[in-house]
Amino acid sequence: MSNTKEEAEDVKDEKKKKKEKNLISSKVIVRRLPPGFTQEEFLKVADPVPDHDYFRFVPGDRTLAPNNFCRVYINFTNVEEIVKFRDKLDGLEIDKNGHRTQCIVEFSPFQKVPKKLKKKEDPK
Amino acid sequence: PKSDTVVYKPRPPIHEYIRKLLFRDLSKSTVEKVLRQMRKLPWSNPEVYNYILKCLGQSWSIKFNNVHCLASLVAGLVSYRDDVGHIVVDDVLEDIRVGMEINHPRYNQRRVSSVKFLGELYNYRMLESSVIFNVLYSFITFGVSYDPSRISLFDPPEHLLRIRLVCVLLETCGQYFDRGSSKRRLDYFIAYFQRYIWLKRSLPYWSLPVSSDDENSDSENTSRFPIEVDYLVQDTLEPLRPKLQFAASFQEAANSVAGVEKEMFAKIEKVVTSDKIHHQTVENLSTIPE
Repeated sequence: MSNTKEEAEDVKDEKKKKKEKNLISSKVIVRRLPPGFTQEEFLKVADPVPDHDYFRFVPGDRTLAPNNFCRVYINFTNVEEIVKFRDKLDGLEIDKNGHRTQCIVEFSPFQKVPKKLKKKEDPK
Repeated sequence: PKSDTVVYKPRPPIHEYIRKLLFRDLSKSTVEKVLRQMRKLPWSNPEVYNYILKCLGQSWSIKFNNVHCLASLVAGLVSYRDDVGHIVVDDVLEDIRVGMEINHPRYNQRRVSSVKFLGELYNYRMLESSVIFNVLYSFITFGVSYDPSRISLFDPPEHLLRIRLVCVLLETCGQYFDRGSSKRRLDYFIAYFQRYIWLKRSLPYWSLPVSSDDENSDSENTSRFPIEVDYLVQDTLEPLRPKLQFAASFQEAANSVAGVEKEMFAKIEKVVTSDKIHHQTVENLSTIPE
């Protein structure tokens, strides 16, 4: 009896650990990059981007003009680098074709990233 | 009357096909068929890939009643392409946020649709309830001014869309917050939500009489606050919490928020102290001599 109880507690502990791991945010979003910005330009501005396992550049949505800002999602592998990264980019003013915007660095509201292990291609 | 000829934007055939599949063909009975066609698209081409994902996030381009089909399609695609779900959720959350920042009536329909889509994505388990609650709280806090003399551009006094957005989201997925921690979270949120509504209602903007005729016809009601909004809130909250007592004044709503906060602080304190004890025991146990 006591054995199963202990096991149950072990499972509970593991769940708790998993939860704690999920609580640490590592995915960052850089918002309000000027409209028409490109991935290359971003990499130049942010150089060097600390170690990451996920990077996604999203061009601005033209239907939102003049608010069609670009944005970037980055998932850092080393959480400690985030503060440095934020200090460098948060509030930085960037010029592009006369558009001057102040970019914002935030934790992404949705922290999940695609799994690294790529399953085999969709056989269709 | 003279009508302008509709100008069609020239698009590559593959884009037209993706748009046809998602924005015209997709309905409750065709989800599976569209899913099969979507899987056959050339996903390895980065240009097509980006276009597909862009369209998958555009819930406002399809009929409002079919938004759940788009969520179902995304959920179906995730079993074949892991990355789709994350990207769509990221994009929808950004659209909701940007909508609050721009706050232009032109995007109101689009915002309602995006919020509904987010709720449906939750129903298809594309995201956790904590994200939903963060969005709910952002609706009643982002740029909200609790000082009547300071008018916020993001949430001006006459602006009631935020209440509608909360209702849409709760209507879509609130039924699943019926047990465990999410049930408690919803109870807490409802307290804050009622305070937000009362904050709006008590603003001077809504107490101004419209005209003398109006006053005569409705002498009891001194508030111009639209009754539709009250009905909307009632219709949303009643199915979720049938026993809920609606706050009758700002003070009452504020009191229940204070109650929630008191409960919360007591809990936090408990956790903090128990954590300390836990750490102490761990330290005592951690070093085992070999």
